[in-house]
Amino acid sequence: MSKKINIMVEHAEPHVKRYYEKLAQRTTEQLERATKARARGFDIKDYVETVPVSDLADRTETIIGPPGIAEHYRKDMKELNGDRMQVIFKLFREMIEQDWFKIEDPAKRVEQAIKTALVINTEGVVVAPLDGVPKVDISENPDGSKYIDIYYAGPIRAAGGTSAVLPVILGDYARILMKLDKYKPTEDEVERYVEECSIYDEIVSRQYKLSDDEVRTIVRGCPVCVNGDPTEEREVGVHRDIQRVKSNKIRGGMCLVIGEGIALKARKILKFSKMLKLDWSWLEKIIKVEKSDSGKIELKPKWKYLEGTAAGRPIFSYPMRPGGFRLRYGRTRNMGIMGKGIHPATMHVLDGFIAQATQVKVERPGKAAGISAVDSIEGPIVRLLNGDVVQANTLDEAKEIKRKIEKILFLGDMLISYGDFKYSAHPLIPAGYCSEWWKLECESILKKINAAGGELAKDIENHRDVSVERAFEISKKHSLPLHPNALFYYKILEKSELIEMRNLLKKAEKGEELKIEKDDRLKSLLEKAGILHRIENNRIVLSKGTSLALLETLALDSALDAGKIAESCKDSVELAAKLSGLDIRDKAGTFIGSRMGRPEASKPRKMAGNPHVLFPIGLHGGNTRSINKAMDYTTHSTAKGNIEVDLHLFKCPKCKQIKEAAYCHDCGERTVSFYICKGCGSESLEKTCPKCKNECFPQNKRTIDLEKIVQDAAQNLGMRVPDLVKGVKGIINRAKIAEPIEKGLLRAKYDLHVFRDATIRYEAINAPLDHFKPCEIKTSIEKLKELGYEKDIHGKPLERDDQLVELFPQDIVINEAGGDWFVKVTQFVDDLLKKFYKIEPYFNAKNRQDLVGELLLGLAPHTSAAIVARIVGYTKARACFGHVYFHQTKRRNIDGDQDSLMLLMDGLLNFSHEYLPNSRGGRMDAPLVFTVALNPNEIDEECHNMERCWEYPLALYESALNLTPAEVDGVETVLDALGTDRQYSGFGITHTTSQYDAGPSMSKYVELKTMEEKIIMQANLQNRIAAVDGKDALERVMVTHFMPDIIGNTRSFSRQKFRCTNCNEKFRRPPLNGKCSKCGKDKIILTISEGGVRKYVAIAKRITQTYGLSDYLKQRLDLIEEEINSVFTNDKVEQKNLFEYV
Amino acid sequence: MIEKEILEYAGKKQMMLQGKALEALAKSIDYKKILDSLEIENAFMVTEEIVSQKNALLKEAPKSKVKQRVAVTGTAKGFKPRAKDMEPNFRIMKELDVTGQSCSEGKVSDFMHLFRSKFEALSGMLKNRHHLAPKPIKRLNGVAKNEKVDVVGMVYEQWTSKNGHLAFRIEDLEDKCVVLVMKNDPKLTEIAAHIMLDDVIGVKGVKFGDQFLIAKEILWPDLPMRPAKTSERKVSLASISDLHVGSKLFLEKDFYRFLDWINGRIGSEKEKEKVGNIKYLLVVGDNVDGIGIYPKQFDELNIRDINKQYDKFTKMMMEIPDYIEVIICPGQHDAVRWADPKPAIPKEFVKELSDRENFHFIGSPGWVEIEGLKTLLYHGDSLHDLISKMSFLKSSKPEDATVELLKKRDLMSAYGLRHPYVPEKKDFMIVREEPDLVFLGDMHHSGFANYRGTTVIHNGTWQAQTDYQVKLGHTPTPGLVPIIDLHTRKINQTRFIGNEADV
Repeated sequence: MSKKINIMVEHAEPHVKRYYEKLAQRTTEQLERATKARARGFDIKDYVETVPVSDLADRTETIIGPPGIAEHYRKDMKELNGDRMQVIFKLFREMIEQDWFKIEDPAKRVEQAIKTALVINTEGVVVAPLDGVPKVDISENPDGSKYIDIYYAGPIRAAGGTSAVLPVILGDYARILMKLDKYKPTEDEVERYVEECSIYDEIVSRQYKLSDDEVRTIVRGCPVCVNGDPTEEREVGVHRDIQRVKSNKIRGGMCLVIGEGIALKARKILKFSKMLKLDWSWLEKIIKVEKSDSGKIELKPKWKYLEGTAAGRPIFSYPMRPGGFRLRYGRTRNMGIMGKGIHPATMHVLDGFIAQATQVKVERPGKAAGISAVDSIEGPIVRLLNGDVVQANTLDEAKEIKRKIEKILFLGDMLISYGDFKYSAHPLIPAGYCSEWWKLECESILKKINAAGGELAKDIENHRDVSVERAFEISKKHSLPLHPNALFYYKILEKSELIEMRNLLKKAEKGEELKIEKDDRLKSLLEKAGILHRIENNRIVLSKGTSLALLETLALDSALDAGKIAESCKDSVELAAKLSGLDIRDKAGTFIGSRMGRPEASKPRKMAGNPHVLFPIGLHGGNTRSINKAMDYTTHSTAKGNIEVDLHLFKCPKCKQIKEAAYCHDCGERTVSFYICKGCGSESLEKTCPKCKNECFPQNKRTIDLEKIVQDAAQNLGMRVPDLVKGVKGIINRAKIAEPIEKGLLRAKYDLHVFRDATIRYEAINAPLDHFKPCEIKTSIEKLKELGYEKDIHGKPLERDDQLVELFPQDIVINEAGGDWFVKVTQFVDDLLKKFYKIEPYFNAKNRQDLVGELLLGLAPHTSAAIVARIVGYTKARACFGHVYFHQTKRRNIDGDQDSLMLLMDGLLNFSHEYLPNSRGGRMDAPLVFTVALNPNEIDEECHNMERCWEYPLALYESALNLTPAEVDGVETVLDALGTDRQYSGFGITHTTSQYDAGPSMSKYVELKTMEEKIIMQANLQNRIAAVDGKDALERVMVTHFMPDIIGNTRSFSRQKFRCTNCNEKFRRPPLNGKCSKCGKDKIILTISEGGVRKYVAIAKRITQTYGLSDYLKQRLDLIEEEINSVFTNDKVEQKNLFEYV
Repeated sequence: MIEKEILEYAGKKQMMLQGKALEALAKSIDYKKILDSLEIENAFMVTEEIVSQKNALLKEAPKSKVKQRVAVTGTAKGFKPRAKDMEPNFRIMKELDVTGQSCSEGKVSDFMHLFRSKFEALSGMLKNRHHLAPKPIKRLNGVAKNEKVDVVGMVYEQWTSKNGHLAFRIEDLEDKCVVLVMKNDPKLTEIAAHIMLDDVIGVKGVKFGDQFLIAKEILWPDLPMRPAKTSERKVSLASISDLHVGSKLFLEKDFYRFLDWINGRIGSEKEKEKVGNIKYLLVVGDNVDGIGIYPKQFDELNIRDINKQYDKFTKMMMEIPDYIEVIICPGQHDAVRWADPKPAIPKEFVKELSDRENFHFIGSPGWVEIEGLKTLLYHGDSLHDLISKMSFLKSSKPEDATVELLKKRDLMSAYGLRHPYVPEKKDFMIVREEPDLVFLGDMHHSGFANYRGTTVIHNGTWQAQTDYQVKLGHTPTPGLVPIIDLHTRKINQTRFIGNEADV
């Protein structure tokens, strides 16, 4: 049954091809084993249900169809030179015109064509087309003409802006092809859109809001109807009961498309409409002003990233505030494209709030980023309690000074890749002068003078370690800009401040080290400019190098009139240049604001209730859903362990017994599904009763002997029933198909919990990695060679564990605890093979090292196409490190999101479509198909912007000074290598880092348990950072996080729902007889408790008090506390108490 | 070309300009200022509307400081108000007011008790008032199919059946049943559209199945028909609401004109005679704008301190002549709880006023018997939920919604929607008495209705149109003061704002 997997890796270097052969071979082997197991017929389907697919075309055909699309797509891609959009439009037209595929019903045909186009557009990975566009219809205008009606639903959110508007464009195209009319909204309908969009804005906060007139323009102009099913409980107030809008509730999908799709993607729509010769000129009314080419763009602080500040997640720097992160261009092996690098010493100095892979929100260029440790850039500059100002350039230094820090003056560098700017369409911005820039200038001078280099060549090689003395020597001799090692952040000082500093320094006692009586003003100026010094005997002492740098740069020994010179200088840097007579550059560049986003995470995924098996036991297992407890369930009229549950109907053809599973272990026969008629109760194999024509159902509520079922299963496995096996309350798939209970007994044995698709998942934050050293991932050289790692980046044979090796695209490094956890999963799978399927086990793994080389599947939420991953080693960091290609194939942009991992064999053996719920979005997050070998051409375009060069051209730094777009010649990107043999390998990096996963492995945020601890630590850190306005920062937290929480809870209390503790039924209000209307018990309780309402009030008050926050906030808290008291305190009782005291 | 300059300037800020916005900016006083301020607000799409708003603000800016009013105390010379010599004749009906008797402890039993006592009170009224012979729902079993039967129940949920009939699940203290309103009964279907969740209704119908009946008639507790009651002596009452002191949009100048008027300082002789009859002034909530009432209110406030807002309110109210009895209830912007029923504004905020003999603070809802007329004050919070649920109600005609509440004899319109209700031991939201006058505010729109001998008066506001109202398309009616002649029950309205101001 199993075929050899076709991996289609056409263009790759030989070692990559060999790698993919290994992957394919291993996958095939596992597929064969799983096929053999499933063929036993014990599962709902007797074949493997998660299907390997070779490419996008294959994925599309498998997920959505129509049959034949894969072949046509591949053919057209070749003919149209890989222009995917053109191919989509061509295929779309062919589908509408029924060239090679026929659907009679025109509405159905448009629906199929639109969905297929959408799947292709989302790389065949996102499930949005299936659930985000549930329906396309052809409806009627009041004048009788027909138009295309596109229904959107909530999941469209996951598809991205372009995909959200593609159906509208295609709908218009189909309209022309099929000669239909436009959608003609009535005035009432237009206003309905306006009202709905405005209410939706209240419900969810959005990137930006449309004005009412813009909504009107869009609704009137759009030639197809943007429709949708209701998604919110809220109803419109004014424009109700409109004939063509079926519900008064808010249609969230529609609002998303109008508000975020059409308005934000207007330019893209216009581009598409031109390609298809459609008239969308009305959209030009919403003009996007093009960036002016004449006027200079000005850099201004952007405050956006500070919105949504959360308690316990500190703000690290304010927008463009000096002392924040200094921009440095570059890419290391652990940054991918959107990742940002900071010095591991900074992580420690920031109290460990940033750990490996912690998400950080940044001012620019993008929004969010995962953080990586890079130790070849500047570390933080801090003032210690004794007054010394020092810089921590190693992790050890940071650890040593951490407790003595009084103020964090500079956070150090943030390394950001060129590709990140390019992808974000953010203009390049000035970087501070740094050694790699100096090196490029050095080289260009050498080229100019055609010199062999001599000494200078040595300096170029060690460009990071040029001494101050040497720096001046070179500058003077070759008129080169002064090396950054001899520079300070002069730009931050006003000209007058620089002069003041110079005057104060002139008083210093001369010598190798400048020494000067302690002077607060001088100290603060030195701190402001990032000039290191120490305090000795109440004197400020500057080191030899620093002294020399200042002496020369500020011409301390000369009688020059700095004040006079300053008049003709635009800033302090120019002034310093004039004073020294040297080419002085700005070392500060641009400072970048940032705050903590989501903490890193790496843990087994848990579903509510933590079930071991998808087997229903109703309420009989109590709150823990314990199958053991349900087995003991008895009443006066029922025998022990007999419980009533809603289950699928199976019958054994031999013994004619009704069964719960697809296999009768008594007779050794596969059972047959059947239906029961709602009307006459007769059994049939059809959905409609052959006798009375009533509807028949594939499931019924019946009493099962749970005890016998479980004991039989245990006997079948040859094990005892574990002490706690947890089932589910009810089955969520429509046919009520449960898992074989044996699987639950085995999962319980290994303490593993099942997800709703019957697989076991591990979740970890995505982190990028493209090179590693064997010693870092703790895998032996022998093992690595076995896995296909033959050579290091220089082409030398792999021999030592400190050689740098390029990672294969689908190899991953996972958290150690995750490795241990996966060992348990393999043991569960081995038990399953041996004891349940009765075939030989596969893994026989004892520890995580045994799993190196094993295959997993990676899957992102909202998507339904998984990708094969191979474990290559382990890390202490709580993340899953993988190649950019790997993450991008899951359609993730690695900005600090988390995805799930599962054992490939687990997916092959246990996943079934039948378990998935029928609800909208039910197919999301399930491995419907999996990719064995990724194709760099078929992943999200954004990673094509990633640079793969070893260094930047000088032009990059120079054009950044003029804020020009990120389009610099001479930077090789992934796009440049696509389609060549180098597309999978040979990635370059501009900066080194000695250990890719250095720094804390768990964020302080996760480590601290209570909210109060978190926020106090946050406040203390924020107050210590020079680039943060401590009070304002804390106030932001209170206003955006605490107050809405407190107010929301207080108000919700008095409109809360109620719940029955016995059966979990929910009530809008308590029934008058006080009893649950479902189970009849009087166990109705509140869903919001007083504790929940008061939870944060006390903390908020204390913090407001301690840190002296605004009176406005204080008053608000007092008022809300009064409000809470008035709900929970009985006036009469209080009065009595007071009276008693008197 | 100025347009080009503007485009460049906006381009730097990465803003999108609507075509008309560009025109408007070109004409505006200072486009840079406008775009700068929009940038601070993170605006991205610039429309004509926004530009004109900003323009208006710019124009206003220099004169935004309202002149500190020199305190004028006492009534105008020569103004001889009749009411000055009248003894007050009123009584605050404390037994119907939550102030001082908020006994909720927020327990599940409090909620249970609330709905049970609501059912008992309203079903009692219903039985007294209508020709109903209700059977307990649990006794439906004993009724034969198609036989006529009456029941009383509280609505738990409502839906439309598969066949398009309206279905209601109602319950009494023991049991529940489903009531169907058939779609082929259009008259009753229209009546049934007035049913709100938690209404206590009487149903005359026929039994259809177990716990299942088809309605033929639906009844609410309702008010009885009464002649309009009048006072013995000639005396008038005026009312205001929704001052929103502290808001940037508080119409202070116009309010001072009202104060001049009530002191007889302005207006014709005839007007002054009318004013002289005013013995009572009702103030129906939202006296100040409050703080933190909605997100980002901070930016909308002129006075960002709750105490100072009340100080300002106090200062203005002190100008009301001391022979006038002033009765004040709170709204959701006041310093009391958001949920209904609301107790009176705490003394600490309005100490000076509380110390005066003629100022009286009551809860919302609150009751006062004035010159023998039972008067109900309710700020009106629950109207929002009611209007959003019933398509035939409009916020520009709030009196229609209030009449619905009177029919139900309950000011609480459905639990569990947007507005919260505290589970008080006694249900203060029930309209236990038959009010002669009902005063409401909150909707910022004036309106009047006479219903079965009760007069409903909706006050307007003293706040200009808010952005939120602009968005909802709601146009408020600020600066209107109704005066009710209690002897004749005639209502006169004086306008203090705009070109058509009466004084």
